Amino acid sequence: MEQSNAIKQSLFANYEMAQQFLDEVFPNGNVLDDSYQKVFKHFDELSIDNFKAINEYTKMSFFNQGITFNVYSDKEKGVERIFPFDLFPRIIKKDEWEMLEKGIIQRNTAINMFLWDIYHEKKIFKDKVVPEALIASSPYYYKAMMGVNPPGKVYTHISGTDLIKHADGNYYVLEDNVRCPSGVSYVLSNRDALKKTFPHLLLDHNVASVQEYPLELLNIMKSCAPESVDDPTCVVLTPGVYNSAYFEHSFLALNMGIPLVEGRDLYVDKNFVYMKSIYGPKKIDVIYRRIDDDFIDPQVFNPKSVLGIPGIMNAYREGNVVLMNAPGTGAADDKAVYTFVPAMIKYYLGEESILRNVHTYKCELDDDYKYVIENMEKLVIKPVDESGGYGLLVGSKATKEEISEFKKRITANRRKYIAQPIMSLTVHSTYIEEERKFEQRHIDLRTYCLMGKNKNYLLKGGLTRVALKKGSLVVNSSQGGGSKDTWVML
Amino acid sequence: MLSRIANSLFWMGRYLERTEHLARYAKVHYFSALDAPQTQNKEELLESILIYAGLDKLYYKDYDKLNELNVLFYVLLDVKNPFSIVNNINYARENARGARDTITSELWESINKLYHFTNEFAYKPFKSTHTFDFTSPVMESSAEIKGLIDNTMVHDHAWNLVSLGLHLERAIQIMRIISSKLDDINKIEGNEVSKAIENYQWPILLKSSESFDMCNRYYKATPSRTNSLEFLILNPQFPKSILFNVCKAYEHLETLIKVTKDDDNPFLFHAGKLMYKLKYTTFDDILANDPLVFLNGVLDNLYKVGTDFEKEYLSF
Repeated sequence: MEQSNAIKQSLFANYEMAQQFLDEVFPNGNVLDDSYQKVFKHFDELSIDNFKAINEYTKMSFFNQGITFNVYSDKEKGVERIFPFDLFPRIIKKDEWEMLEKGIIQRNTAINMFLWDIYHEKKIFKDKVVPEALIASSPYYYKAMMGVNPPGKVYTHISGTDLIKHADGNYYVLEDNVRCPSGVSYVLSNRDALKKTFPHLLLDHNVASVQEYPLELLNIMKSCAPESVDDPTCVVLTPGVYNSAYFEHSFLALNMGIPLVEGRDLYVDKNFVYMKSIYGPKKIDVIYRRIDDDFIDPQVFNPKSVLGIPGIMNAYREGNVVLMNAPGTGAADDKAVYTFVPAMIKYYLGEESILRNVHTYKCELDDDYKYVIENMEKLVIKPVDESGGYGLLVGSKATKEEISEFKKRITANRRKYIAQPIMSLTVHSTYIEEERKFEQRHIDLRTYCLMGKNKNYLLKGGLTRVALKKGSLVVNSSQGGGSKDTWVML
Repeated sequence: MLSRIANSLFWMGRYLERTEHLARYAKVHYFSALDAPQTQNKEELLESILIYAGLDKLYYKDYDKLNELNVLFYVLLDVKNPFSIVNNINYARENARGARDTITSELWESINKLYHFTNEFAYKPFKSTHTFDFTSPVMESSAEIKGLIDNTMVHDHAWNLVSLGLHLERAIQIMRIISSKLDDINKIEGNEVSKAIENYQWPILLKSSESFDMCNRYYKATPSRTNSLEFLILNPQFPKSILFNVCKAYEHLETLIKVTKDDDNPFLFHAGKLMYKLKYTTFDDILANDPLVFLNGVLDNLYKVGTDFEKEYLSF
C-alpha cells in the first residue's frame, strides 16, 4: 500500500492480505473501499495504546451491563463471559442492502406459505414440487399442527436468515433459521457500544437505526393476537436465568415493556393460558417463546420437560393463545428442505429467487452423484438429516482414507447425502488482542425478519459474526466467534 | 405482577439491606476494637460481629479460635459461608436478574457492578486492610442502589415490593444490632470500670446503625443508654429507627394489599396491630421491663409479617 511508510506504528501496520480471500474493507486488489474511507482513517489514526484502552473500556461496559453468557466448567459457579465485540464496523451499501431486503422477505414469505400448505392442503406435494417423503421424515413435522390456523396465517413471525458473501462478491443464503433465531440483542447492544465509544464516527455516516426493533416486534405480536382480543396481553417466555441466552430474553421483555415469564409462572385452565400474579390469575394472549418445541408442552412433546406448560398446545389449537414462532416450523429449515426454497418461491410467488442458494448436489441424482464422487476434495459433503455440523466431510481437509470411506457411504445411501462447494467467506479487518493489531478474519451475517398479519419488517442491520480463530470459518459464539456492529447505509 | 417476580423483588430489597448492615457493623466493630480501652476485651468485639451476623456457632465449625483475619474473611467474603456478605450480594443479584424486566437498566447495572466487585474481591488473599477497602465501596454502592430504586423506578407495585423488603429488613437488622449490643453490655460486670466500658458501647451502637451524628444533634448530649435506645427504637422521623421502618413497611403493605379492595384483610390487620403497638409504646414502658424481652417480641412479630406475606402473596 502507498501510505505504508506513514502508518508503520498504526493498528494496520503489516496488515496481511491473503490473495485468495475477498476483504470487504480492501476489495479490488487490496484498494481501500470507498465506503470505508472515513472509518479506516479514524482507526488508522488511533494510537495502539489509546485503542487498547477504548477496547478494554468497552469490554468492561458489556460486563457491567450483564451482556454476558455463562460458561459452565468444573468450578462450582459458571464463569461469565462477554460475547467478543469488534469495534471496527461492517458496512453494507445501500443498493446491496435493498437487494438483500427484497430477497430475504421474498424467501421468508415463501417459507411461511410452504408451512401453511404442508399443514393444510399439501398442494406442493401433490404437484410434486417438493417430495412429501422428505417432509414426512422430518422430526419437526407435527400431526398436532395439522389444520391449525394461526392468526394472519403466520408461522414464522421471526426468521433469522444466515447469509455469507462469497469470494465472487455475491451473497448466498447459508441457512434459514425459522425456529427460535437468537442474537438480536447483541445487534442493539453493539450499536449502543459503538455510539458511546466513537460518537462522531456515526455522526459522519448515514447509518440506518436498529433501535426500533423491540417496538416492531411488539407490533408484530399484537397484530397476531387471537381475533377476539382487543388489547392483548403479550409475554416473553424464557427457560430461566440459567439459560445462556437469558440476557437476550430479559433485554427484549424490558425493551418491549412486557413481562418475562417462565413455564412455572403459567398454567392452562379450560384451554386458556394464565399467569400467576400477586392478585390472582391473568389471561395471556400472545407468547413470544424462547423455548424449543420439544419442551413447550410435556403433554404433546417431550413428557420429561419441566420448562413447558402442560396443555398449552390445546389452548393454541383452540386459538386462545398465539405462540411465536408457531410449533412445527422446523419442518421448513433443515438442510434438505433448503435446496427446495427457490422452487417454493417459484411455486407460491411465481418469482425467481432473488437470493442465491449455495449450489447443492443431490447424490440421489445420477449426474450429481457422478460429479460428487469425482470432485470430493472440492466439496463439503453433508448428511441431509443431521444438524450442528455433525457427520459432514470437508473435502479439502480430509485424508485419502476418509474420502474413500465417504465414497462408500454415499454409494450405499445416495438419498442421505448432499454436497456443496466449499464457500470462501469474505474477510474483514478485525482487532486481534494478542497481536495488538488488525488482521483479516472470516465473517457472515445473521439477519432478522419479522412477519405479522399483513406486515413485514426487516431489521436494517444484523449480526455480523466473526470467526476469531485465524483461518477458521466457524463463527458460532460457542466456538470462539465474535461480532461486529453492522451498518446499513441510507 | 407475577408472583415469582414479586418474590424476587421483595427478596432483592431484603438482601440489599442485609448486606449494608452487615458491612457497616463489621467495619465499625473492627475499627473500634483497634483502639478500644485497655479493659475492653478486643476479642469480644470480634465475637460481637459473629453474634450479630448469627454466625457465632457456624464459625467454630471451620475455625477453632477467634482470629481477626479469619472472622472478617468469614463474615465478609467467604463464599462457603451462606450468610457472608458476598453471598448476600449474590442472592440480591440473582433476584435482580430474575426480575430484570421489571427494574431499570441503571438499577440493574449498579447491582451487577457491586456483584462483580465483590466476587473479584472474594478470591484475593485476605488482608486486614481489606476490611476497609471492601466494606466502604459496599456501603457506597448500597447508597447508590437505593437512590436508583427511589429515583428511577415508577412507584408502583414493583417499587412497593422492593421498598417493603428494604424497610422490613432494616427494622429487623436494627433490632438485631440493638439486641447484640445489649448482650455485649450485659456481659460486663457492674463496677466503676465497667460503667466506662458500657459508655464506650453506645457510640459503637449508634455508628453501627449510621445514627451517631443525628442522635447527638437530636439530644444535644453524648450517647447514653437512654438516648441511644430511645432514638433507635422510637424516633418517628429518623429513617433508621425501628418505628420509622415499621410504619414505612406498613404503608407499602397497605398500598400493595388495598388494590384487592379487601378491607378486612386479616394479614394487614396483624401488621397494623404491630405498628400501632410500637407507635403507642412509651420509652418508659420499654425500660420498665427488660428491653431485650420487648425487642425480641417485636422481632418475632416482624419475622412473622415477612413469612405470612410471602405465603399469602408471593408463592408461585
